[in-house]
Amino acid sequence: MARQLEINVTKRKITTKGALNKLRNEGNIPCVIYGKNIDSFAASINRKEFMHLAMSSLDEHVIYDLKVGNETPLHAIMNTRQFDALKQEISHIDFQIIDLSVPIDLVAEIKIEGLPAGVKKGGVMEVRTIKFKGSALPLKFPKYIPYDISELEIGDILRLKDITIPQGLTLYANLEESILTIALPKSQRSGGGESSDEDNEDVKEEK
Amino acid sequence: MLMPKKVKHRKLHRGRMKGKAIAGSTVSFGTYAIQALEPGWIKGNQIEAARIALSRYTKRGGNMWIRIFPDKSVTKTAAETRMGKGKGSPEYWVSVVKPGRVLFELDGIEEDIAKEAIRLASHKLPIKTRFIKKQVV
Repeated sequence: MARQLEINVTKRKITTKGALNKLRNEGNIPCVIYGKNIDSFAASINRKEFMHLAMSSLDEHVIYDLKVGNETPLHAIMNTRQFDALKQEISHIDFQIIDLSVPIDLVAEIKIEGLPAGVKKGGVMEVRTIKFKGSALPLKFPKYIPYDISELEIGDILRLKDITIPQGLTLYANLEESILTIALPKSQRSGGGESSDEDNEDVKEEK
Repeated sequence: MLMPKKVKHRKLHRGRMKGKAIAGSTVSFGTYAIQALEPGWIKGNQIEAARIALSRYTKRGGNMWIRIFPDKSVTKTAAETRMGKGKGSPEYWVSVVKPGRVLFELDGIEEDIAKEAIRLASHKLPIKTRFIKKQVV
């Protein structure tokens, strides 16, 4: 289920590059807030406060209650964020205002638990798709759907229909879609038995 | 060694390496990665050496992704050649790397092992690199 977290937001008027860099150097993240029934506006949030909140709820979708001064908090999701690859930090965030009573589209991930019996016998687990887009009420949208795969044998295919999807969540995917398969090792498949190129290369070099 | 099977033009201009990497700068497939901090050309044999270093230290456990490919040819004129007579022949292949570019990714191994494997692999590369983890927020 999603989690609601409150965060303070400061409105900003200047949107020049220099002003944004100054904001970042002062420990803030520039952001923009927009939604269906509000006028969009530029703002900034404290980086330390935001990272603390975000890191505390990695297992759930987060709905941010944006507190702008003394106004009533706005419910929002983090729509997109810009990431500085060299500084390894978020440089800008887009918050999208949402209505808690209207279903929204987000992504739910199948969380695989346990080691399949087939893998213990030498099989290879091949994961196909584990992330699915779906629709549900914001507060009832799960980020992860846990599923125990410890009983899967070699040759078994886990399909979306095998998983119990939480009530209220509709996934935009074919129920026959495969999530993972437990396959035979390459050496035991037909035409197998040859060592890989990687092995050959290593052997060559060691000579 | 990594090199293209077929190219449209065998000989290329050297080009410039201004700015930061735009594409390929996030950890997309694995959990741990090597990231370039400087611009430079990475030869096919250097990529191969780094790959072998990673694969040996991890004892072929987990998964590895090579995120760069040497698709640019570098020519060299033969020794003791008089001036003129055109451009030399392709000698080796390089990948053009800019700061921020993710070079290799690893997954399915412990962080300590990944860190050490990446340290060993970074010695095979001609540029400054660092260890990074997948961004979770």
